[in-house]
Amino acid sequence: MDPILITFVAYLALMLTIGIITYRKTNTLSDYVLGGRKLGSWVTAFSAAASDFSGWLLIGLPGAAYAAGFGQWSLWIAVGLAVGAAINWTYVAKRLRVYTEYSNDSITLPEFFENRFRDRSNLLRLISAVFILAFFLFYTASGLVSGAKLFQGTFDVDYHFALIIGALIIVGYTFLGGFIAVSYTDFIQGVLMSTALLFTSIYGLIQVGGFGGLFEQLSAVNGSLVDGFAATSYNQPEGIIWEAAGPIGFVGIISALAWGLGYFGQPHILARFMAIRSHQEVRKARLISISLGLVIPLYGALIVGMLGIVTFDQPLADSEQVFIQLVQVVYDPWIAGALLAAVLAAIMSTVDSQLLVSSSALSEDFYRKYFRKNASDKELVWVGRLSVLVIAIIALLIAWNETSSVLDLVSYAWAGFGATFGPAVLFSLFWRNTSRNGVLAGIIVGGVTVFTWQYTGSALYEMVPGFVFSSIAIIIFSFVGQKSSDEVKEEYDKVAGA
Amino acid sequence: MITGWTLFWFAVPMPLLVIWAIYTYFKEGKDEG
Repeated sequence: MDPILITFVAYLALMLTIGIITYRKTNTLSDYVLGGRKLGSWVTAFSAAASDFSGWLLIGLPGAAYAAGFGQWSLWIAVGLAVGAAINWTYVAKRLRVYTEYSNDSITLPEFFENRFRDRSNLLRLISAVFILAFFLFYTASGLVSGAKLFQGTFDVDYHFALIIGALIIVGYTFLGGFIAVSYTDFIQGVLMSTALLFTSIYGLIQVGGFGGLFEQLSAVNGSLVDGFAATSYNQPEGIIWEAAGPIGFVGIISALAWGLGYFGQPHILARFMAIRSHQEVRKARLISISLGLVIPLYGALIVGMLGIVTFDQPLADSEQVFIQLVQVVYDPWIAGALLAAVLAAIMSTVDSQLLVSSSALSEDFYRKYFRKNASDKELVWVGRLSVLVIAIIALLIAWNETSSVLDLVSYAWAGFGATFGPAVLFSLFWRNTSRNGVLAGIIVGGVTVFTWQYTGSALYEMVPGFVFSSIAIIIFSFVGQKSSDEVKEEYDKVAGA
Repeated sequence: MITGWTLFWFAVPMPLLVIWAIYTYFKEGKDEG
């Protein structure tokens, strides 16, 4: 039997076992959505990293580094993400953990906005939940497509068969265990991803004579590969193999760095901050996450992509296959199987978190709010589970089209959340005079800018105008509209002093 | 060969963030304790 298949099956069996074990520990909606705020620092750190990176870390970033070395946006996007995540952990994590507990023990982002501003109209919560559902449907679909393409490329099976198998497994354990299962499996997946990138890049660097050898061989291929300010073109099917393409330009660098702004508004990552056992655990989780869960995998992804350039005799038709092909060339099939399972881990760990946040938007923000105000905890857990099923089925339908572009969807959803919720989260946490109308305007302006920016034809990443316009809207509407009540300001002062 | 600024952006900011995380870990631990 194929060693790669055996490793995949063993890995998936482990994930499902964790789902079944944690199923017994899930009694309330808070348990299902936030694990009852019981997560320790190691689990929080790695599950935040794993739910963040998705297949993008092992497929997209190495692919970009393979296609252009330093000479495009891969270096800048890694730096932007690292800085954004570090700021998020340093300033947002603790404040959000404390504030959500003070604000009537809020367990979702829409609920936090509503409680933070004492919004009796439900509008804030409703608009937030609508944007969450809209962006996550496409995000989840892109994850299912990545999973299907991995199975398809590794086992040579039909795309639609691979899609259904992957979806059944992911939904299976999200459905059973909710947040506790997702966070623990994310922990394992985060460790696996970091380890896979670390070992592959160290092993490869030794083979090529260290960084000096790698950079020398890259510049022998084309000088633009080792120049972070130069662009490089790569399109093997059209016969363009690592050709210099002029300077990357200011807009290119700013657009890539702006990925870092996305962190402040990602509901599935912020949910990890809300779930940590106590705010004292944040400093330890931050250290673990930034060093082992962020910087090492980012370096690993860049190095793996560049090693691909100097390793393969024939340039790859699809640059994003670089990690998948490299591990199969370099390692024994048993080790390759484990490392490819890490790719699946990366995809699964993001899709499950996104399914869960979408499910909480449906169960908590729609069902409890509009249909059954007095629903019991047990009923809400089941509504949450059924929501996962419904969302997964719609995402599956979107993913059914084999030509779906994974990275375009991910980049779009990342900008969508970053611009819609990023400024709203930051102003809610750090500006005392932020008002309900300000945040409402910011959410709508940010979301609408991301939806419409593509029609301007600008090369600038939609995150930048979305984030800026949303921030301006929050400031203007907080000044001109109805001011926050004294109760809201007193709560802010308590949190600021905590 | 690799340009100086490319090497700088590759080798400096990310390790610096790890040093920052180590520094804040001990500083906040001291403040809390």
